[in-house]
Amino acid sequence: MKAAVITGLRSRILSLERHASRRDPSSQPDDAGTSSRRWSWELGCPSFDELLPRGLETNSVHEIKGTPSALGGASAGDWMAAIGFAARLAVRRLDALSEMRAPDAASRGAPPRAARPWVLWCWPKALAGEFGAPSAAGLAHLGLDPSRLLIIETARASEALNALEESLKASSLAVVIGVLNEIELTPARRLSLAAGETATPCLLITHPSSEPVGATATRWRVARMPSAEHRFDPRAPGAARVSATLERCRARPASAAWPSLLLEWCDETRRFGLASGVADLPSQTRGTASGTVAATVRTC
Amino acid sequence: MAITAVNGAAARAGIEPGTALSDARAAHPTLVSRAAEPENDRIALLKLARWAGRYGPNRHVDGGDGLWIDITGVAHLFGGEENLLDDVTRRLSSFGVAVQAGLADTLGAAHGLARFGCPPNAAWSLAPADRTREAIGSLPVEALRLDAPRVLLLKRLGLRRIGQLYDIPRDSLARRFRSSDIAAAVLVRLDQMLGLADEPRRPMQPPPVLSVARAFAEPLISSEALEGIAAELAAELAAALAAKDLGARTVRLTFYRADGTAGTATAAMSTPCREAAHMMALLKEKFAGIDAGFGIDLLRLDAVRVAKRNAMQNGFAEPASTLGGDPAALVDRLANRFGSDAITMLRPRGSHIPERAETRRPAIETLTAASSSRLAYAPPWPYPKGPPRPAFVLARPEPIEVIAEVPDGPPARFIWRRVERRVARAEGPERIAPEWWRTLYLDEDQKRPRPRDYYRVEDHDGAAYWVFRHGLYGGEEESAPPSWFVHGLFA
Repeated sequence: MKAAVITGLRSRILSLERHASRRDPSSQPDDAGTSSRRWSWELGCPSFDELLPRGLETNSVHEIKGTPSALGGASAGDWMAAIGFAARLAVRRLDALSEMRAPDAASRGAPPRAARPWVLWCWPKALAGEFGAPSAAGLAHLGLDPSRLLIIETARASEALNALEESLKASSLAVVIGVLNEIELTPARRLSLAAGETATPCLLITHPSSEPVGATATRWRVARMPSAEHRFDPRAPGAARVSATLERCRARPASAAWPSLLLEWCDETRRFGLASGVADLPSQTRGTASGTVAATVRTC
Repeated sequence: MAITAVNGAAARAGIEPGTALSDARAAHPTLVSRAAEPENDRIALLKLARWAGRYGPNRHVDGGDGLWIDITGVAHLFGGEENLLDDVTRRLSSFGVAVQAGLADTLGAAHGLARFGCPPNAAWSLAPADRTREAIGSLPVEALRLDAPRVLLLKRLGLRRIGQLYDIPRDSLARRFRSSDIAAAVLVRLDQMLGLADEPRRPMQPPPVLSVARAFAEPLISSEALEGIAAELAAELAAALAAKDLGARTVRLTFYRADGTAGTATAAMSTPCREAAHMMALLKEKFAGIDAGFGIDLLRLDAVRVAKRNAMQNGFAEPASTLGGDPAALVDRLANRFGSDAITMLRPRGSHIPERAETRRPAIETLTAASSSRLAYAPPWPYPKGPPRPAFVLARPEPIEVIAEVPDGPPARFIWRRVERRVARAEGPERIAPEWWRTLYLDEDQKRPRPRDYYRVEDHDGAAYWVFRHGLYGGEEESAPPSWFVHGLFA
């Protein structure tokens, strides 16, 4: 009896939290399948996706941080690990959108315009000087379309937050990526509300040693790992590997352990896969073809 | 030291501009004099010229002491040319400026009438349309806007009035002067005054394509009133644009204050727009910086740049844009708030050198090009699908110190930004040769660009860099040894 009441309450809370965006009139789901894909997307790796009860929600902010080095600073490599993870999550989101649109288009008749989704990148000038500018060829290699990317560089971090909020409120972007040094609770809440209004996900990358903020739906801690083995050349770097720890997930109970897995990005299928094995230690890459333990990527 | 300007009392006492100060002081010991500030005078004149835009967008400073305003098509708004002249002179005198005005068919004639043609007690003089020739006949030859030696020459020949020039046939005029340029100059100025030759003149700002204005009897002070009237003007401008099937790319709101100053607020749009709500939303952000001063008594909204609207564009007023929709409205808002250079898009350039292969252009200009294609399918970016490229490219490659395994191979250790990194794996080289067409005509001693061998290296922590070696080992004799740089970071 009590269990039934609790289950009923849980499902009601879930349906309330998955609130429809107030401004999108097409939010009435016509069938359960497409609506569920509209509100969340996944990493593509089922054993990790099980840990996210509702997938990566589109109506909220997700924070991604690198691993700080011993002195509390962050090197370019730490930032790059977080930025790369965020970029790949954005690629997954675009793929999920195009999958969602394809069956709709087939059933209803394709719209006259090829609607390619837009991605927005926003950071203050100070960070822009550290890493240089996004390069179209490199982003295309990752899987983003450089002709559908808007880059915002603002003079101050407060203006970057303002720009992020404005772009979340405009419902014409598929995903918004922001790179900031730190973010406080109130701005994070505002971004969260804005993302919820229009069901546009916001991926925030912050300094590895900055204080984590509690208004995000998920928080990831990533560290770049030595890459997988290249198929043809043992001396060349292979597929990118990242060790991702889910530090906070709003949908999971707070007492759950922090799962940490080693993920590998596959360029062809544009998904994350689970990399296991202890092979590809740096010492084994000096051309000694024999004795190399191949890593098996479990395509699960 | 010479006197540059005198007031009415001094003029009546017989002091003229150009007299030496010491002579004038000797004649009138009670003379009061102040240092002339030509720079401040010029700035004040420019401010007045800006204010004079309320009478028409075509206006500018004329010489050092006057303004010219082109009132073609404006006079009826003021109830006739005479009323317009009354209005101008009354307002200028209320600012404390002594003014004389002239109105004629041509700029030259108006210039002459203003300076030499005003009756003693009137503030202005008007030459009726098509009666310019008679009107300027009685003006002195100084009105021809020639320099002093030429005027002197004309006077020596006995020509003191412009009317005397009419009767002389042109070639005999040329014969009287020693050189033909002087004759040509005189004739050119005369033709300009009579309207037989064109006079090039540059207005202060390029004239707008469409313009709507509203004047107030009571100057506006509150910002709510300003917003309300601006919204009405935006609706009028939108209707005017729609009637011509155009959209505005830049709109400018100009406000003229009651004390003779003016200010503007400009908004730029990425796609031609004729929705009043969107224009108001962009202009509203600039209202905070507007200071009404003593009150605004004329508001004008101009469409400065217009373009034909593509029939396939979505309106901005639609509340629900799909996920594949245009972010044009967002780009407009952000670009007007942070500056048009803050929000950019990547565009390709015709070069294979990595730092020159792409450029970032302001999104407000490139958005129309990118998304208003008539084809349903636009081909993607023309990037080469070749070896992997870094996601971030440094604007300037940073030099690194390298210990390489073999001279022609990838580095084994390198120091970048003062941290030593040990390379675990490397891929390469990819040779990017300099553009051969830039080396064709170099001299012997000029530096030639050298080929670069790019390597994708990964260090023991997993971070990946894009490094290159600039130059080759064992290349030409006596050339500098090759140097290594980091050019990008892989994400």
